[in-house]
Amino acid sequence: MPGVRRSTTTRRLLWVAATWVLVVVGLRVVVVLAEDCGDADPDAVAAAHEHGLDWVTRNQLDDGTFLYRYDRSTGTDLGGYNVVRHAGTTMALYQSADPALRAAADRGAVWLLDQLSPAGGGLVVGEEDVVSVGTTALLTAGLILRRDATGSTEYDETLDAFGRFMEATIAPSGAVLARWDRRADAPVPGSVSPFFTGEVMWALSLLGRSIDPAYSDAAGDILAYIADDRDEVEGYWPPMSDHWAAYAMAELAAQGEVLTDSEIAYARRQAQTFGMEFRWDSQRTDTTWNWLIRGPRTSGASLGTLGEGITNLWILSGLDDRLVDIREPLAERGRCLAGQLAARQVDDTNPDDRARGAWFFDDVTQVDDQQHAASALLLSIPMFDLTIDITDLDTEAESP
Amino acid sequence: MTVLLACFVVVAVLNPPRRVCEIDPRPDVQVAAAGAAIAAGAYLLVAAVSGPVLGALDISDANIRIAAGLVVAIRALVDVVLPPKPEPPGLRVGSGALAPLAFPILVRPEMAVLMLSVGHDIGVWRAGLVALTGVALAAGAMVVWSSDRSARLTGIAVSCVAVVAAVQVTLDGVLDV
Repeated sequence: MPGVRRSTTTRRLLWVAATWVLVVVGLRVVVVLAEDCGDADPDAVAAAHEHGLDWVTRNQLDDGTFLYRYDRSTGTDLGGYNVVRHAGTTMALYQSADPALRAAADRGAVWLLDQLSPAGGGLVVGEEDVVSVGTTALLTAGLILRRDATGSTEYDETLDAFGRFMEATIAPSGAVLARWDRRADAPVPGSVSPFFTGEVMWALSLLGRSIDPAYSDAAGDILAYIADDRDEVEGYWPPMSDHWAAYAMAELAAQGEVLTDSEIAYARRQAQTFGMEFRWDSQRTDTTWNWLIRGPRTSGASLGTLGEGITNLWILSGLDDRLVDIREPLAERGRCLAGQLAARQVDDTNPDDRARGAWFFDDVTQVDDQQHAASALLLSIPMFDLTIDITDLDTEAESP
Repeated sequence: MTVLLACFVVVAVLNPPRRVCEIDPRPDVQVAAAGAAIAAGAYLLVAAVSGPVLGALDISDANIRIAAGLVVAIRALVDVVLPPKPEPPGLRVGSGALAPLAFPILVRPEMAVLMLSVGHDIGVWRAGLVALTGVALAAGAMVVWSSDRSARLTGIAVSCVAVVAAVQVTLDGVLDV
């Protein structure tokens, strides 16, 4: 009957149209949201790096410590302190290689150097009964970067002592024990940290370049453990992304070390993890619907660590042909991430000294937001100019 | 996505035996060829604009791959469960090559999303060739396949394969850098 036939045809047409609309709109609204790359421009990125470290130095106290945590909604210094993050922030200041920041970096370093104590045949930062290994590692990295920028060898003996201590924290498996018991002069058995292992590995690789090549061998032992065993042994599921390990791998490769196939496979998995984490975060906008399907935007520190991981793996990909296929995707993610960092930073004209140049999460900023963001921004700059020869970047201390 | 995987997924998604059950009466060779050509042209166009479209929408190649895998998987699961039905006669335009053969049987939203990804991953012309292969097989099946029952059963099997292929595509996207 013609009427029935028209009705069936109309319903079918409507259903076909509805399916197309549902697929297109549904995908856009739920699955393939826009991936925001903010201000992905090298000048904006360089400026953001500078402004981020300006926050650090502007808010440094006379004793060398930094403003640790600030709430802009109430204008309140929230107090608290973390010595490892102090060391990391000091490292970021040295990493910039900007002579204007060196005095602030030195004040930060001296505050740590005033707390040295003998441990493991060398020296450790900290005078408590149990100290964290990460502080010594990050101070080591900072002082090596200082050495790179200034040529000064004044801390070489101290650095060697740090190296001896860090070697004492390495178990036969290659694992790094995260805490040191100064009373027993021994590592705390079973103490692990998701970050200290990579930090120690990076510090040792830097010592290997500048103080004693044997330290790079120790770094290599840790890398073998990280690549093959760490996630399973230390119970990380899903496998953790480790930007410090990325720093170390790039440094070892720059020294001419040839990573094993297993370590390259680990580097590739890390690149996938960093890429996946950033692609997810780049779709976040903090609007209500977006918050429901993507969650809240991450902090400056978290985003910065993704950037440090991506940029260092990009450096590695330029030094090892086995990773050449992921070089351009890493550059794309790195540029996008840097642009996002630049866009999320509090504007340089903001009148609040403790807000200007910072990254906030829920109206709170913490000093390592600026540390990690600034490092990521600095390291991303070469990604914008692919004419820069990677061999020119033999240290992270290269000025932008 | 490799060319081989793209080919495999496209053919699985177009599911030639299932399409056999969606057209009645069966087309002759000329109509089938014309319909296939129209569909191939449409997919070539999608592949050709994949770069600009994805760029304008700020979608990375990894994420469109995830989207393609998801939408193909969902469609394939629906096809496993729901039996195929012939398109209503009222949809027919002219010989039937344009409608219903090209639209809506061969040109489908899940294929369009897949072609955005394939076009970006393997290049426009390779993507066009892959699409042509898929639609040609589907159109050809409509001409030569004689048994509705065997087409239906084989279509279910192909849909299951399409689910597996779609999962691979999705994983490729998730694990991309």
